[in-house]
Parts: sequence; structure tokens; C-alpha cells
Amino acid sequence: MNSRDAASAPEPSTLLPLLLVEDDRLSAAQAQRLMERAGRSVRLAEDGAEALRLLAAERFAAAFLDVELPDTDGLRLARAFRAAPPGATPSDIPLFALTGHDPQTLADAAAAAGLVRVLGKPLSAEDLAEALALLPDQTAPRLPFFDEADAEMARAFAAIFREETPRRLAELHDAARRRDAATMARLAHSLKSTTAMVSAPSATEAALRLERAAGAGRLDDCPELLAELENQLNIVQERLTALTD
Amino acid sequence: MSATILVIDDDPAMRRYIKTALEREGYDVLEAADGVEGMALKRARGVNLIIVDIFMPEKDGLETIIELRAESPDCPILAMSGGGSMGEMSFLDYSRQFGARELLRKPFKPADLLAAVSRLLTPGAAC
Repeated sequence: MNSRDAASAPEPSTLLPLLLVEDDRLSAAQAQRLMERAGRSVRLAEDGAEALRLLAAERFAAAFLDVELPDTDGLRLARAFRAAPPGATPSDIPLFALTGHDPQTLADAAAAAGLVRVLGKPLSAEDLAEALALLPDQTAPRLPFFDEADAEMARAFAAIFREETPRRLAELHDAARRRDAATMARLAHSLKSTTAMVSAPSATEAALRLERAAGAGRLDDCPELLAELENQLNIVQERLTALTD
Repeated sequence: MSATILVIDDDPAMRRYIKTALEREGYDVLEAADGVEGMALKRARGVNLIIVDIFMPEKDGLETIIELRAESPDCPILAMSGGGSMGEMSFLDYSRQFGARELLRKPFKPADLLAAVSRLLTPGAAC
């Protein structure tokens, strides 16, 4: 962290807390200490059920999910949260996995479950800093991919996304009516990238699911996956309105 | 440095993201929705650099890169891909062997795109 960042770092009280889901007390204490040292307040959940309750009741900036929990695992918990009805915490907040094993071996499964990144345990200050740098700035709506100086470009990208997405969606519905799996796979593939460019992980994940189903010719699965993608795209559109209006 | 950059991608939103980022840096940008259109534009207008998506209908990115290489051996090519389940992620790495000099994985930061472009735009770069 350079001096400019340090000088402009918001007071902890102005930032939403982080949710740490970890049943091992030592690991939890160690991660919590690092997070607090990074200026973040932390709420701790010891199992999946408690985590889902907190996510529905309070607002968090991000959640860090241990892969091995007493009642579930971090990847299943991530999927459960992404699929949950809207709660206090938006279901597309960044989710991170924590594992005592090699993070690399989990990377693909974690990405498919909509997790941003897998972090090794014990959590290191460097990994935490990188993860926190990926979080949207909660003091103003903006896209995590853009530096503060890039607010103008973030607005331009948000406007492009809002203009182009309804057209892609109409094309997708058209392809679905024609049962044209190849076109659906191609359009879902495109949406996977365009949603990722505006940092919308839940929508990216929904696009990936549709791309896979259509690519594998599983036409019967497509209507439901398309409905879910549309739902996620609507959420993103709404969120980006704050940037463009 | 003023230069003309051709962006070949079948997705209009992705072309517009890239065009927006490049134009803000003062580059001129041409857009093509597929390899056929891209090759025609390159021949008609002449460009300094080509950004090409690997996964496209009609003529795909690798085929386009191979054709570009044959026609314009000195043309700097930036290949990009969203990766995922269609297997083209390995093609992105593979595209380097066919002459793509820089690879960009979607999603990318505008700053990473601009850095790759400025590395490729050496004096005299032309396609």
C-alpha cells in the first residue's frame, strides 16, 4: 500500500463488515486479526446455516468461506447464497474460499461456484490485501476493475452494458424458441465476458451455466437457465443504473 | 502515438468496451464482427494493430490469425478470449504459436488492454 492509498483509506466505520465463515477457532482468530489490521470490521459465523442467516439479515462487503465446515462446504454454501432470495446482502457480493490445501486444485470448482478466488490457510496479509483490492469501493458506486481515476470509463462501460444487454437477451430468447443450441451457447459465451467486464459474478456464473447446457445440447435445461440468467442480468442492470444516471 | 486499431469480435458490447478504452487514449478504432469482415477492412483501410477474439462464428480467431500472418507477417496481433467450457482457453495460448504476440483474457482491466497495445505498437507497426 502506498502513501496515497493510506491517506485516502476510509475509516473502518464507513466500510461494510466482512463475513468470515470458519469453524476452526485458531484459523478464525488469525484471519479476523488480519482483517481488522487491514481496517475492516469482521462478523464471524461458525457454520453454513449461521452464515446464510447473517447474509440475509445484515449487509456485508464480502464473505470468506472456509471450504470445510461442519454442516456444509464453502462451495456449496456459495451456491446456496447465490441462489438465495434477495436478502440484506446482495447475492452477487464477492465470495472468497479459504482452504488448508493447495488453492490451485480448487480453482476451477470455485470459479464454477461463483467464487472470486481461493485463498490458502493460514490467510496471509498479502492474499488478503489482494482480495480486498478486488472489492467495490462502498463509498461510491463503481466497478472493481477500474481505478478511481477511471470513474468516467466505468460509467461508459456501464452504459454500454445497459444498452447492449437487452439486445443479447432478445437474441437468446429467439434462439431458445428456435431450439438453436449453438446460437444460445455463443450468446451465453459472449454474456459471460461482457458481464465479467462490469464485475457481475452471479450473472457471469449464470451465463456459464447456460453456455455449458446449450453447448452440451441439453436443450431441456435451457429455459430455466435462461430465466435465471435474465434475472441476474436485471439485477446487474439495476445496480449499474446507479453508475450511469 | 496515433494509430489505427482494428477490433474483431462478434460481441458488440465487447467491441464497444474496447473501442471506448482505446479512443480515450487517442487511437482510431475500426470494428469488425467476424474474421471475414475484419480481413476485408484490413485490406481496404490499412491498420497498425489487430485485436482479435479467438472464439467467433463464421471465421474463428485462429483461422483469422493464420490468414493475417500469411498476408501481413509484421502485423502485431493481440488475441483475446473469455475461456470457459468451449475449450478455447487452450487455443488462446496456442494462438501465440500462430503469431499472436500478446494474449488477453476476458475479463481484463482497461489498463491491461492499453499496456498490451502500447507494447505492440512499435514504430512502423503495420498490417
